[in-house]
Amino acid sequence: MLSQNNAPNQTTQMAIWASLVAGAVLIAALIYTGLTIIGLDVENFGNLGKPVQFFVGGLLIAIAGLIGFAAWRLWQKRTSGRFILMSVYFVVFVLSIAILLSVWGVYDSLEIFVDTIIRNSGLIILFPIAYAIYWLGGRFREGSAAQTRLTQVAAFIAMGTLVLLIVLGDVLGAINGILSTYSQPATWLLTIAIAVFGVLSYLLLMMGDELGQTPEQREAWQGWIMLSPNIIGFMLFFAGPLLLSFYLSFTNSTVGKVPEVVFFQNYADVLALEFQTMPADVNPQSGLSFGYQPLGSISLGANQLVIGAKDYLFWISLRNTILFCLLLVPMSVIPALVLSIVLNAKIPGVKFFRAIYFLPSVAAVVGTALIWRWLYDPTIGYFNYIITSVVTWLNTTFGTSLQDPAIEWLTGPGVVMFSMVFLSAWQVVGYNTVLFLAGLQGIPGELYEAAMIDGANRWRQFLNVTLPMLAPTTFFVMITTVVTGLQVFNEPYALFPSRPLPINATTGVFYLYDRGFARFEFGYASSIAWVLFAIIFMITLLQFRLQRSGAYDT
Amino acid sequence: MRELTPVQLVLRALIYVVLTAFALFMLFPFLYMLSKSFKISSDVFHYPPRLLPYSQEEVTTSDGEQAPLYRFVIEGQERQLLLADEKLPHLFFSTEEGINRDNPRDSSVVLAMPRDEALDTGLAVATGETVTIKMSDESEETFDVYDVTIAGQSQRLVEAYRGSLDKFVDPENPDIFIYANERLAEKSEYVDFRVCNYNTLLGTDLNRLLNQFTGVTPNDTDCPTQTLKLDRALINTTLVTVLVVAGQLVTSIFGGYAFSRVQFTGRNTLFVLYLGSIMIPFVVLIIPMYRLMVVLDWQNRIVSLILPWIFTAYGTFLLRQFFVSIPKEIEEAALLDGASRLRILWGIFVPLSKPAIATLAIFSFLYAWNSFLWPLLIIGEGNERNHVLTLALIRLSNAYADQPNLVLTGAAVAILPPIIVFILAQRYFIEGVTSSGVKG
Repeated sequence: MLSQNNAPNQTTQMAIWASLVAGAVLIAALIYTGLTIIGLDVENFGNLGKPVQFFVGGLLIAIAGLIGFAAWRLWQKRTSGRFILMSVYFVVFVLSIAILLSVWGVYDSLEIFVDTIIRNSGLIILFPIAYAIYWLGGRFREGSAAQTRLTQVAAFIAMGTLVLLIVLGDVLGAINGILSTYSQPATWLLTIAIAVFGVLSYLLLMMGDELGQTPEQREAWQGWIMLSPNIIGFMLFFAGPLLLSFYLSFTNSTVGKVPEVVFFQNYADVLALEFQTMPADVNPQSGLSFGYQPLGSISLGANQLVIGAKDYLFWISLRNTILFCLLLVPMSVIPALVLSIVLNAKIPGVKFFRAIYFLPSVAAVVGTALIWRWLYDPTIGYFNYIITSVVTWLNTTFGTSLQDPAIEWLTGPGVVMFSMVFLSAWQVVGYNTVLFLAGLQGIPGELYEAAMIDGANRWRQFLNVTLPMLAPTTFFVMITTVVTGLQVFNEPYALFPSRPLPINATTGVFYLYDRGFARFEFGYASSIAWVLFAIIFMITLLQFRLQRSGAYDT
Repeated sequence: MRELTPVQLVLRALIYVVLTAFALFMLFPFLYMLSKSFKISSDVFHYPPRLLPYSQEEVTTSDGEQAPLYRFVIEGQERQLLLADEKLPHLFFSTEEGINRDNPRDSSVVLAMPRDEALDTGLAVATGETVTIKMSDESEETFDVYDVTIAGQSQRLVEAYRGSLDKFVDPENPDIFIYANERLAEKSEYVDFRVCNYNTLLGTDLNRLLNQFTGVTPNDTDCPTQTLKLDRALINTTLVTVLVVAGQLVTSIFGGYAFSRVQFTGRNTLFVLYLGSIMIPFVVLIIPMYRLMVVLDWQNRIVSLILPWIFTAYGTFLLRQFFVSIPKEIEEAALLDGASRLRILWGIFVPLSKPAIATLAIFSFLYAWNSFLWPLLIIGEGNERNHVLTLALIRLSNAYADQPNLVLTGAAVAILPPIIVFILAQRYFIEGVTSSGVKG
């Protein structure tokens, strides 16, 4: 790289000229595309609404302006102009490749690749064999000839199988397909764009020293290039959607309709509550305004205070979500604390037990929920079988006449929430135990020694050393549990076979899913998402605050 | 090892008891899943529930057919009988007092006799008399009276009702037989692990494989075939997972390195922004991401399960934290030697941070393998070709609501790979969780 230092001035001059011409073309293309996007019918741009089109189009035109500015700076032989142009060209280069791959149908080939694997499923066995050989290599001394050789063989088998699978997947047809896309001018344009902007960003990269680039600037572009995948992904799949979500929450966006901006209407509908006092013997519904449903009532002697909600189900789902967290925290944190203290005793086999407790948290919730669905089955499930057995045993042994409760775990309105929490607690308790264990192992041994010298017994040591030292971990565990609990979706979806869900098992995210993807009220569902986010964010912030303010210092 | 006092021994034993009990509780659902996945359909609904899979013993009859065996105690001796004849008409005799006033079928039966045989041999003779009994609903019913010979003694009994019983015969000694109700008879069963469910769902032939490796001859080679299978979903999930993990590793390694070792203006602002994005839950992005996929025309396509998920702020953060701890001197020496950034990253940083990379790989593996909400939104219910395992499982559970053995086999197919990976790479799991906790 450094050998390029004394590149002839001629080449640099040519490269600058080429960059300027390419910049002009790009400016024209961006402005044209930007204006087209703004001018498109809303239906033809994903039905997102004019504001989004103005934003995207405006962004493209702004980038065009930036290129113009950069080109002017480059004309003046300023390295900042080169830097901006280089970044833009690089991004154009990368995005063109992504789009060209899409045009070529490479993304679709994933499905075709799966077809090939299914047809030649016998070949899959070669992958575990390759891994076994690699593993075997790992048994040898690090760097020994045997290890190198075995690793090579393993890599050869794995790569060979992969290539074979790709070849078996109709490569000729695929190449033919790619070539046939060149009947469209867009494909040519993209290919040319890739070549031009690839070469130009390379040339711009190389001319740095001639334009007086400092080592710091050199380091800077290296940093930006390394970060570019992340930045592009961040913009496309995080920042952009986040803005879009915010915008959608202020619209009445739905399927097949041009969205209108309704400002705070969605939020008002989601959150609207009504408080009415009325005589206690009046039906709460009758005293509320039209469209409101009674959430509950508080007795005030002869009167009652009725709370009505416009979106009754939202408030119920919010209540369920909070209840879920309130139940999940003690049910998963207290056993985890106890277990971690037991496991922290220096006894053999601790690792084995820790591994077993951790197992449920690596399994897919959908899978475990289906297992629990059958454990909860009222007739052949183990829970009711155990309860029945215990009741029968009590009745025969002590002569009591207890009734078998025959709990309807999956349908009983009073039970479904508990069923869900129990499943979740089982799933996260091992994870929390590992967190607590880490916290416990971080407590310095001197503290216990000091306590011992002061004559504190085991119990006092636990109360005065372990618990306070564990406070930060406990807090962290509780916050993570609550934050995951507030987003619970898979558990209710997979555990309960009935649709609609039992009302007491409808969680906030499930309600959001229902509004957004069963009724396609994207705008309304987005506003629900932001309300839920506000709650989650406040709790996360609380953690950050306490962490910063020194609540963790001991 | 130092000696333990008796008190310590007892305490330790107690600890192990508690730990084991809890371990059993944690493992039980998995054991349940595995046991059900080895069961045959008829065994699944057995009550009381049993953990081990059972099959009914069978015997080959003289005419070459397979007949199921049942367990009976005849004259104090336990015997295995086969079902010889079904639904033979029987007369059920009771005494006049024994007739149930609510429902004659609940009467206390003194004796049941095969009708034709009893009448032909004269063991039961209709007297022609009847008794009229007033039922609890005030109606009157008449019952025939018979002379029945029991153990050589004739007795007057009332025919409470007519029904049918099944005939069970000892295959070795056809003279020993008994009449009983097949539904209430105790089946003669043995523990029997069947891989049929796996064959059905994965389209494999595990029986033959087992036979080749262990020499055990499988007792059922004809597994029922189903149109609903998991093989494609398994391959889809594997492909998605492999590509997501690979993509996340690449972006995180580059990003982590840039954030930790490359100086440029705006880096710290960008890093704070990036960190902040970890705090934004997926809930907020569900709808716009879906709309974006619709705009890109990536709906229903596997690429939408991969490409948006290969950028991870968490992974970048994790690797950055690890890279920061690598001493600067190593890198500076290499830089002075004229090594390029890429070379340093690949030759020094990556080998040094294998544990962190392994941790990240494992977490992204779990994340990709177990993800459900996103595939649920993007891949339509009808587009079975592109279903991943979690989606296919839901479909399976809807289609086979009456065959938990198949549903739980599906659950096993989805759950076992992460568990195997966990067992192989346990250390990195624990390290990953621990580091997230310590960092807060």
